[in-house]
Amino acid sequence: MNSPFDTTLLKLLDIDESSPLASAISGRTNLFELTEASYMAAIFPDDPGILSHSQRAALATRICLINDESLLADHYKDLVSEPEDSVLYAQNSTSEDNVMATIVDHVDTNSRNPKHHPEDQIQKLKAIGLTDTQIVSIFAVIAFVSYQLRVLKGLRAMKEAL
Amino acid sequence: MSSKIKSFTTTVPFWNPFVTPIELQKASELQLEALQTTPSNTQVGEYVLVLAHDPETLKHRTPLFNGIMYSRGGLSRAETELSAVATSVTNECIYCTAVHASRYNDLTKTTQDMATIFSEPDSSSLEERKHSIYDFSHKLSLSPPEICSDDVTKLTQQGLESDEILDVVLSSAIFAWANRLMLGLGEPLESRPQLS
Repeated sequence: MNSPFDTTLLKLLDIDESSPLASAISGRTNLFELTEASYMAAIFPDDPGILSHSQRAALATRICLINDESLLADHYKDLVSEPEDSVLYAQNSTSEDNVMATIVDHVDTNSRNPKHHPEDQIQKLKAIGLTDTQIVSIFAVIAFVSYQLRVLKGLRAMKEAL
Repeated sequence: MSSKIKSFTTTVPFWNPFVTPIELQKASELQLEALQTTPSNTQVGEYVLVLAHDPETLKHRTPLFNGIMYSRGGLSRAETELSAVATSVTNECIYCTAVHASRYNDLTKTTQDMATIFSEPDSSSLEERKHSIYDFSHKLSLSPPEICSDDVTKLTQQGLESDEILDVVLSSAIFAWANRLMLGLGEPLESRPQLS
C-alpha cells in the first residue's frame, strides 16, 4: 500500500490528498495501513474457520446497521457472496441454523452492550459446541467492526466540520 | 477465592479469562509471530494468549493499538489516555478503565480528574478542554454512536488541531475494540485465582 488514501475507509468517505484532513491523516499513515490489514484479517482471513468470508461480511453488515452506519453497511453487503447469508443481517429475522442464530444473538449483544452478562454469552456459545478458538474468532470480527465504524464516523464528522 | 471487581478503580485488577489461553509452548509459527509484540510492551499475559487463538487479527491489532496509544506528535499521551478512559467508562469496562486511569494519573501527577470521572456521570466538572475530549469519546462509544460535526467544532473551540482530533477518534475507537474483548472474554478479579 502506497498511501493511506488507498485504504477502504478513506475511499468510502471520498477523502483524498486534497482534503483539509490530509495532513493529519498522512501523519498517521501507519495506523491507516494497520487498520486496513486488520480489516483483511477480520473479514478475509486465510483460515476463515467457523465463519466464511461471506458470513463475516454479513455479520459486519449487521453490526453497522445496529450502529446506524449505512455507508459501511452497504460496503459489507456488497461483499456477501452467498445469497443465503443475507438472513444474518436481516432485521427481525433469525437463521434457522441454531449455531448461526446463537452467533447472531451474540453479535447483537456484544456490539450493542458489551457488558451484558458476558459469562452467560460465552456459556451459550460453548453450549452449541464452539471451541475457544472459534469463540475468539467471532469476537475478533465484532470488536474490529466496532472499531472500524467508529473511525469512519469520526472521520466523517471531521470532514463535515473542518 | 478472588472476588470480582464491580466498581471503577485505579488499581489494576487481574484479568481472568472465560476461555482457555493458548499454551505458549504449543504455539504455532503464526501465533508466535503474532505474539512478538504485546500491548503496551507488557509481558505476554492471559489476554494476549487468549487473543492468540486468532493470530491473523492479533498480528495487526497489537501494533495498531501501540501506534494509537504511543505514537509521537498529535494528542498528548495524557489526553490519549483520557479518551481511552472515557470510552472504557462508557462501556463499563472496569479492567481497561483501571489500566488507563492509572496511566493518566502517572502522567499528570494528579488523581483529581479520575476521581471526578468516577463520581460524576457526565464528568462536567473537568476543565473545559478535558471535558470536550471526554464528551466526544463518550458519544463515539455509544451504540449507536452520537457524534456529529458540532462535536468536532467543540474540540476545535478548545484549541485542538485536526491531528489531535484524529487521535481522539482513534483512541476512542480502539477502545471500542479493546473493551469488547476484555468485557466479553474475561472478568476483572482482585487477584489471580489460587489453583485448587
